[in-house]
Amino acid sequence: MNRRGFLLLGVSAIGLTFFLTSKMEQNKKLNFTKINRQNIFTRMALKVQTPKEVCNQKVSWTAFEEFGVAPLGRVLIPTSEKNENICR
Amino acid sequence: MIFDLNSFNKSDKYNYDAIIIGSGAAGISLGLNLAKRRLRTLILEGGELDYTDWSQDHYYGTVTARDLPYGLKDSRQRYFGGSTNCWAGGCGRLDAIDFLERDWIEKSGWPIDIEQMERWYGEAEKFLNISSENSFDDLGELLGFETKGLTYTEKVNFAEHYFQKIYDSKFLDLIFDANFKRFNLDDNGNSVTNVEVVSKSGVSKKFASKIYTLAAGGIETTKILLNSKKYRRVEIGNSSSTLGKFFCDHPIAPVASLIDSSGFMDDYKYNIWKYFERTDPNVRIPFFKLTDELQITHKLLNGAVQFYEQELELDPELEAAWKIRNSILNGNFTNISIEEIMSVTSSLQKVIRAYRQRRKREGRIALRFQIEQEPRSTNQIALIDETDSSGLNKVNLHWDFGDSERRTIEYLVAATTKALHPFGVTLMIDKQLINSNDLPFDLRGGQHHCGTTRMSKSASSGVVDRNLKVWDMKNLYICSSSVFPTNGWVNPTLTIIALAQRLGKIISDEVTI
Repeated sequence: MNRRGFLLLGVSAIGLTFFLTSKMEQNKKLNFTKINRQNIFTRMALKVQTPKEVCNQKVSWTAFEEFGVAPLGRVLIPTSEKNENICR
Repeated sequence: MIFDLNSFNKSDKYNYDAIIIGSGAAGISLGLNLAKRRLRTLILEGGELDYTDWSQDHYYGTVTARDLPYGLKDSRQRYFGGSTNCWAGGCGRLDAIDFLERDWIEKSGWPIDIEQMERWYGEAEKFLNISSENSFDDLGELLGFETKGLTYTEKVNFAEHYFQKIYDSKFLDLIFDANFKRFNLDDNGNSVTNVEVVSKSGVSKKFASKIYTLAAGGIETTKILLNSKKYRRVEIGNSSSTLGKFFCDHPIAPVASLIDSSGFMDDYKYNIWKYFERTDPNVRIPFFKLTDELQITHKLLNGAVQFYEQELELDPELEAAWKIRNSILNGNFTNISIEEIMSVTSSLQKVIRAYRQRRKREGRIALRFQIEQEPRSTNQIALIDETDSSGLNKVNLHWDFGDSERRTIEYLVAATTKALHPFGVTLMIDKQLINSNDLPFDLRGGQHHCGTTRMSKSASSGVVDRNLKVWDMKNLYICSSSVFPTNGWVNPTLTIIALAQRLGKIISDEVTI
């Protein structure tokens, strides 16, 4: 392969990488309506505590349920979308 | 002109139209306003032109009920310029609802309304060279709240900004090192005949005028009036027995972390530090506040939230590290315990990570609240036996919170949770609130002292009338956040300056009659 061939291959590789990255970014944006549990707990574990610790801790404040929010451990979820699985 | 009390050589019989005690935000703005109206005005400042420990020690006091994160001594400044010397510059108008009587908040309701304040807010904004326009993203609407910006004025240090103006003024004098000693009253005890001040070196002088205004700050003003018990049967302003009561400050604290798995919050300018890095002289920062409808429906106090980047959650180890850092900086090692040192050394990695995040100003996105406090008679300033260097008794502040504050915070957090949930943003309550019915332990007051000489419709329910005149005195006024019957959630300085502009007109009318 001559020099021009290498150049073409290089440009194509960069273009493909750029395309795939932007696609991944787009997918990330499209999925934002779902709670990414793994992501939440990875971040919590990295920054604060393990998911188990977070879920075993109880917040004592009393008016959350009246205002339509359920504390699952320390994580707050709207009552309408309460999902016990998040802490299993 | 500006004088030192020790070398002040005008005749003691020199009569002023108005005397103002205190040269902070209220005193200087009122003094300049009166001088503009060609009234011969004198400002008496207890401190000197620069900070001195001797002067600052006057502010020492004790605190009961809740351990204040700031001591009484350090939350204000006692020298020329007053607490504008340590003011961040936050300015905002109170909301219309803050002035109203709300049946779910005891003792709420101002004797004036927002319409009567509009003109004076405008004058105050002109004085500080700021505007009240809102130009922010619509995150407030998404939350079901309202977006309101606070402007941070560049004119934060009044001593620096107005020294020359006062020095050159033909109508305004300022005397420093003039520590308030007492008011001398007429035979009936309901009119001030002169005010007695004393310098650090013991030089005592009396000054007389037609009108007197106390503008010594939210706590010192009350302290001066409570000390009048020594020379008057009932303390000046206390015919209603409300003097010193109904103290309010703004509860402010981070309460939850936002777990932003989608990057949704990246689109919003939640990071307040980025605003401060802007080059505009007057920086505007968005807050997301409860609408009137939400307050009425859920019987809440007024309040707002803000999103900002903060280091790791404040765990006991990090709090201990922070305390040790401050102790080292202050050179005071006596209050560091072995347990605190052990907790820091055993979590050194965490402490270093938090330190690095703090330096880089990055970390979690925290939800922080700033809310109104319900006026309670038990939150009170009272005299203690110890006296300051000028002979006045120092004060104790009893400061606590109740269910209404906690309920408001819970609503703010719950509404934010529900609004952001569909966009992949989850809230996690801070660790410090586990198994606790209390408010966050790193709760701080805004150092906004309000309420202890409250403005009222009748003499039986407050200390000053709607014109800020002390109910049981003929010629004594108060210009301070201490006259606020309720404190809203907004920082108080703009309202203090607006009230000073209004009082300038009232005093001018009174003197020229």
